[in-house]
Amino acid sequence: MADGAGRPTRFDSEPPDDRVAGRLTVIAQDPSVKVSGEVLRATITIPPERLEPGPRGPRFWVVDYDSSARRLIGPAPDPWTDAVAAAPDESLATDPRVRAQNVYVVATRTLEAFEQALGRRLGWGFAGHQLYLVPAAFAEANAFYDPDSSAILFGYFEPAEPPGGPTVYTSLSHDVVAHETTHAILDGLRRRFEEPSLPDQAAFHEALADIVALTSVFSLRETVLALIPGDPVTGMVEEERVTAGELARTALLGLAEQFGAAIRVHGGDALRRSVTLAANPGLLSAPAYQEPHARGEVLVAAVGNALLDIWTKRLVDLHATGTPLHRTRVAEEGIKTAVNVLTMCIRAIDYLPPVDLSFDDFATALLAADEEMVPDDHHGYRDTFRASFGRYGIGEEPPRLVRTFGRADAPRYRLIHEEELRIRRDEVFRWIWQNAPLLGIATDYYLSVETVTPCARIAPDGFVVREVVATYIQMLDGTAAELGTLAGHLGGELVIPPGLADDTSLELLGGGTLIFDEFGRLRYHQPKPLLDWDRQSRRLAYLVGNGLRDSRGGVGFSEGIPLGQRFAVMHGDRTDTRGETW
Amino acid sequence: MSQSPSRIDFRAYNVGFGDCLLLSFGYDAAIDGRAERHVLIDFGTNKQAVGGPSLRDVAALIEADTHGKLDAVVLTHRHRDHLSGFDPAIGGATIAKLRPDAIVRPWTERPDSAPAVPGGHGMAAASGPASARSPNQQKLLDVLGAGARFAGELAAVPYAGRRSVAESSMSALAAMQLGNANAIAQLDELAAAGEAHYLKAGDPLSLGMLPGVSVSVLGPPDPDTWPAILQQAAQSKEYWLGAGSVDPAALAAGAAGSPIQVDGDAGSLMEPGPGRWLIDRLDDHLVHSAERLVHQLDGVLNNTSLVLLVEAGGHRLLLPGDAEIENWGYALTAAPDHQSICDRLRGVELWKVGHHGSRNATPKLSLFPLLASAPPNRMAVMSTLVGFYDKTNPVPNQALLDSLALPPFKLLRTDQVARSSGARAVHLASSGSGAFGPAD
Repeated sequence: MADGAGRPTRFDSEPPDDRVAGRLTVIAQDPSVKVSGEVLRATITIPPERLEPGPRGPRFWVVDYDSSARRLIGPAPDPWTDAVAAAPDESLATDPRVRAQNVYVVATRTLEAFEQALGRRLGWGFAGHQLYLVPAAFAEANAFYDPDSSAILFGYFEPAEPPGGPTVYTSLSHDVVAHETTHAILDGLRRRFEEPSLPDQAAFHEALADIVALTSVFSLRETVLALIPGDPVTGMVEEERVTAGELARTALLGLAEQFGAAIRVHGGDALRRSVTLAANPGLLSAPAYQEPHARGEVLVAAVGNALLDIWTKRLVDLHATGTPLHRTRVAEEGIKTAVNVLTMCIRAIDYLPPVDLSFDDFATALLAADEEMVPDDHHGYRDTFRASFGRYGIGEEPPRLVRTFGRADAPRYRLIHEEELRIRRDEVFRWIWQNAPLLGIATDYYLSVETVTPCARIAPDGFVVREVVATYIQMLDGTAAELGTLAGHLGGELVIPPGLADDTSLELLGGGTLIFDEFGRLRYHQPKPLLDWDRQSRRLAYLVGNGLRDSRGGVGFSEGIPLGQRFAVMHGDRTDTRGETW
Repeated sequence: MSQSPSRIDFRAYNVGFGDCLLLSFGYDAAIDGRAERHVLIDFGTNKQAVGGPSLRDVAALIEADTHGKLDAVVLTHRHRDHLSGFDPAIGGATIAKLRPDAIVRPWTERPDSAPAVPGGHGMAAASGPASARSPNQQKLLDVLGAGARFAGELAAVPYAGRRSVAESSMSALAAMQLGNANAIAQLDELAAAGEAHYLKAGDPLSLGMLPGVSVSVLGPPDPDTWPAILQQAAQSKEYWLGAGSVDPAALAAGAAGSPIQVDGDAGSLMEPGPGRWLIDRLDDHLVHSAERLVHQLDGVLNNTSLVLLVEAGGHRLLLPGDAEIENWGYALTAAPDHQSICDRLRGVELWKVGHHGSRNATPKLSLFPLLASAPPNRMAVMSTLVGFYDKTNPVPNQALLDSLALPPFKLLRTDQVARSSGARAVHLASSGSGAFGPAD
């Protein structure tokens, strides 16, 4: 069969048996993580779809072009032939089909985790449906998501340690692939998290990407089992080796082992091991934690330690004190916990405000979304999370999430059509217009409903929970002097940072997220009021203090650097400048 | 006989985007026939200010201001904007005429070990005491040498016809990394004729020709005692060249429009369509990656900067070259006497702002608070030119400028002094124990 150009039409790449899910192998962590001298691999189940050479499916398209060498590598003809399973350890790093399959499968699995938790298909933050994955894009110790190219670019490099060691491909690291894919997914869910904001927002991008990378390793059962301490022969492990502190030091809780060792940032350990960050509620106010990666680690530590606490609490019931545990049971409890923790974190995203996200918002959203979904929390997940967040100084403020269901001053629905409200931005705007005074939304300023997303999930009681998530944003442009005066007229104060000229152009952002239940009733409103002068003042101080201006000197519009390059700069390997730059 | 200077003059000539500083000491009585001493710190530019003096003009100013005799010359590091004036064809011949007695440079500039520049001294002829260099020192020298070759190849890529903004800025930045061989040779010659000092942090420096002047070397740190200096760049020279880096040959091939190598069946990827669109974009990325790498190299070279704390007549002056945090980190946090260094930095009265006011040469947490503590009217001198360097992170950095606009600082910029008064230099002076202020 041929298309008009005489090229074969590719209908021959169905999975081998379309009744079962497609199974393909990946490198479980990266080529440096070995068990009994062999690179640890794992089999992953992905949707049994028609794939074209690349692999190229409905959401991802692998293009193996190396711009440093100007070399294009043609893909394997049949993507369902398992290249990773077939390759011996020594050719994992050199076989281009291995890296192509590895990025495709890990990215697909990561997207699936999000879609399962959120109960819907997710779009990207750019036009188009397929995200390019470029597994050896350039010779550099870097990997980044570039929305301008609709792509994730994975670099490769010669390691510093050991000298002359094999080339390190970031595309062969499960953690790096999951991390970058998460950036792309989150960009699709909350496009405006790329807008200039307080440091929590950029830090959240990094933190969520790390949390997903860490927890999604737990979906690989054989990997978890291999990395649990103890004796593989007897299948037992002493209880002192599976404490939270001991588990925190395993490869399971470290990120990007080979990358970290190769660029030698922490004496050969993983690139990041955030869970070992000592808890301290003052951490987030320390100057060294204003830089997004460092700050993100605080959130990862809070979530990671909640995971460890829940996991180790579940182990207590498995054995009598002083006796060893079955490694399999330890692994299984870890898997259950990690899957739940990952799901909680992903579900929280729908409850996040569309702009100016703070860690407190995330903690609040996570607890609220989970309560909605799993009212009976008999394993104490929420209490453990609340405590862990608190130890890192997150979520100490009173929740700002407003539960409006059942209130006496309930929203009004005159002339609102529930069917329309589920799908139409203009109907949601009409609804907001009617209820603006109740919601505290300032209608004198630019107001736009940006997204309306129906979603459905299966609750533990077996019923489908339907919700509609809508986001709106508000914007206000003016000079520093004009906005300062306006704030004064409205009875507030916009603090203009010292040295900022009166005629500097500023852009203020606000907005909110609305969650409607299956009857179209508002259940939650997570607002970031445009006229919250305290937040606007803090944002302005941070942006000005860190030189985050657009190319014409304005503040709050953009950071004056193309998006892809900004992600690239964030992901370079310079590690010792925390908070020291202007 | 010990005698203290009774007057200190500090000039920052308006060389545009570069540094050229003259530190002069006046004495109440003549010593060996002269009642003044002069130290020139750096002499170069990447771009002359519009309407400002040329480097030749500046050489003449130096000759006049020193009354025909220089006592010492300091080259903080090998960047063009600190060095180019020493080329005999530009200002080097004039400097030679002033017969400086001492040439002070960072340890990386020792002729038998310094990285090669095309036509200049260096690694190519490193037959010198290689055994005297530790593996870490050698590593840094290798990185500098490979980086310089990398920059040289990038700067030489011909971008005929299709030169984008990114390509030209990358190319220009690459060119700035290249040492000027003639200038280096001139300094080598002067060093051979007089005292030659090659220094790293903590080294004692005795300049007998400057009575009553003490100079402490705060940087650059020795990569053996402070390996962080190696971490900023990827640590291997392979990183910069060949398989481990952006291959300048690939850039050149791309610029020349030569075809892409295809392994296996690429299907429709090389034909017009979405795949081909991506490949074209990735080729653009290569240029941006090259630019980022050159930025890193820029930082590595900046971090070889001498950081000097000058103490004379009860005054303290800080001359940090272009040192960035990796260089500063040692003196501020790890040197055996770092607490005493920090205490002395609190008392600095006159400070040349590092790297023309860039975002990463004035460590915000560890250095800036020391300088921002008392005394009031701390003179911050910035030798800079707006709109020249790095559109992404403009130099001078606005947030730093905003902070320097507040007490205790009094900021003086070469570009602004020149614009407001037509002066050719920021010129500050202090007599006796009096504070620094504009010279008469």
